[in-house]
Amino acid sequence: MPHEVSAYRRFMPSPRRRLSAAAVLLAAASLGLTACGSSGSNTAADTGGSTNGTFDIVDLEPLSGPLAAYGQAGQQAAKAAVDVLNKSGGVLGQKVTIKVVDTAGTATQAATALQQVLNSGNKPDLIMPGATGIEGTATVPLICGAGILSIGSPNVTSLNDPSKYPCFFSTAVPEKVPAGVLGEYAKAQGWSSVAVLTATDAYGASVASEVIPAIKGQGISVTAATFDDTQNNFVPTLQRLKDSKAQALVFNGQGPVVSLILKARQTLNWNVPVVGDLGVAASPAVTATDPTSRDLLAGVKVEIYHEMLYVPEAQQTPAFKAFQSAMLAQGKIDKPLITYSGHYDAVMLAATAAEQAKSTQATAMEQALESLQVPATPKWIQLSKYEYSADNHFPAGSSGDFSIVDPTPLSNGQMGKPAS
Amino acid sequence: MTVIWSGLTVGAVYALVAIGYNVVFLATGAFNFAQAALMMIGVFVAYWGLVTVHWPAVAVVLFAALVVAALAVLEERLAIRPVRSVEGHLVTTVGWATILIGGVEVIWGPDDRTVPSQFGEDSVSVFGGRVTPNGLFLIGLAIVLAAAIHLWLRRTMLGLSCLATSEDAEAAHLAGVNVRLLSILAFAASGVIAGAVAICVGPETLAYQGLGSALALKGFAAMAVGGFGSISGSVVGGMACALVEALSARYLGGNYPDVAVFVLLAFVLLVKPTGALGVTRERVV
Repeated sequence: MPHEVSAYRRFMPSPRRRLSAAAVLLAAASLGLTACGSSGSNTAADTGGSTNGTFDIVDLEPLSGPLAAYGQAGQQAAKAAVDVLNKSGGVLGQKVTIKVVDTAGTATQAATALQQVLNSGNKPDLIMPGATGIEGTATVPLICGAGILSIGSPNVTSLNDPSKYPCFFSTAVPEKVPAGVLGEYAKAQGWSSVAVLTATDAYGASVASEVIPAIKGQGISVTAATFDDTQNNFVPTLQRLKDSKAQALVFNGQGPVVSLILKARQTLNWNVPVVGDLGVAASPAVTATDPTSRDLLAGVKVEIYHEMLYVPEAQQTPAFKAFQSAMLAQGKIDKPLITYSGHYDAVMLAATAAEQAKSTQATAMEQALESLQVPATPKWIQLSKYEYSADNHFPAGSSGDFSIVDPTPLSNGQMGKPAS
Repeated sequence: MTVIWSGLTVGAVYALVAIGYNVVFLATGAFNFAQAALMMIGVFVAYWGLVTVHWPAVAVVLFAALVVAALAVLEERLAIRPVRSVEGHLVTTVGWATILIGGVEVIWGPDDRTVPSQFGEDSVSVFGGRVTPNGLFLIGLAIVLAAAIHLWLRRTMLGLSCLATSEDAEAAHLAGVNVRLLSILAFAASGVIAGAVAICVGPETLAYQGLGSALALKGFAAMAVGGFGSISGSVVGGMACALVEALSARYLGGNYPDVAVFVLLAFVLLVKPTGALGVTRERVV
């Protein structure tokens, strides 16, 4: 056989082989396109959750990094909720399991950790998408793409879009409601001008977009300023607001920046009343017990969820008693209750939805949440009721869910316990 | 004037970090990215000494200086000596900083702590602006410390040995300078500085695990603006960076302080690449 022909036959297979190869390629391409199509879709498929006879929860939390305090608290609360459910028979007779995964509080780490969960082959019934908006914006699209129910505390307005994220339900009341409470409080105090200081991150922008109109809507003039979380010096920013001659300061923040802002206020000797938002109420600065920290809180009030207000044991609801007992069995309750309650309620809402849907299929639970019937004795503790709809996956909430109080040292996560 | 005072106070903190960078840089040619993390350790030790065990201030200063110096010497042994290249030092010192930050989280947890001031918490009015007594002390401390180290480098045998080593380590070794001992002493000195000043730095910065990262980059910017290897430049650079930060926050808004520092850094490096007080050296070959 001539050399050219043999070479041709080496590199160009016979017609029969070419047909077989084409068929294999076509089949592989079809499978690949089908996989791409289903993973790229944001529509929850009726694929259900775990298939091993348990109700499986994956809890994404920032267990390391600057938000570790919030993540560890969230983990404790989620595990406490699982304990309470298992003691009362689980969900639809199925034992509840929980796996906590570290996100380090960053979007990249959260997405990577979630992808590992999704690729593991064990599909959970519920994924809690992280403690913060930073994590939630990274994880919720992936969770919805995988057709799994997601409930959690990220409070970012862009995630409240059931057409894009049908799987996600927040436990946090939209910023509009607590902002309205702040506006009403400012009006009641008789302030005619208020300074508003917010962070430049997504949460701060969300707060600013609601708080400023809410206060202005009461006929009060507002001077606004922003700060970056990386700032080391808050005196110039507060000086800018002090020069506006505002009668009060409303600010948001989380973690060390709260103390730095209060220290800057002390340096400036700016003694106007101060109101911190929900994030401020959850910061160590407002619940510390040492004298130096307490001195910073003169004239400061904070907005809290009503459930953070101390209630004597005799007046506690059965759900709250079960929560507190389960939490204390896990460890101390040494942070504000709001740090725990959203995570606890996320698990309880999923359980309630499964019971009302009589199914652990993601779509069925989503539909049950959208028309949630409030039980006679709800298992959750943060709000009196959670009202969702097909157009709104954030709880409606009401002004009665919030209070503005003097910050006090905590007693099992609650403020306002009378000194004995 | 209050904004100026706040800038000078924070600038003093940046300057102290930059002084630590420069002490090590002058003696070893290495850039110790963990210097700010060492200062963070000092702040936490100061918090522990003052608030948890209620030691007197002098004891807290000495103990913090000792602890941080020990960690710095350990860093020299584990992260600097085995590594020959400058690039390697950058990696290993960042690794050491990560270990220190992790250690803080394990020991003290993730919550931030308020460190009480030794001079009272109330601010005072000076030249029409408000400043804390601790802030005034910190500004003076940074200037005095920089002046003392500057004079020591030029008037003592050990100081001249440091300058010789920074110029040409091999020649200094051949001239009889114990380069290895100098490296250990430099790290110990930078640790003593970081630990001893922490009792004054803490009231301005708080004790929190992100403090090391927050100060590391700004300290580097202060060093670059003031001049690599210039102790007095550390103060100039630190004050300049912090004042630019403060004035941009006051007059432009919260989005601009970091941008403003970057613009300052870029301007200085374009106009005088060796930094404001850095010196261009020539060698006759």
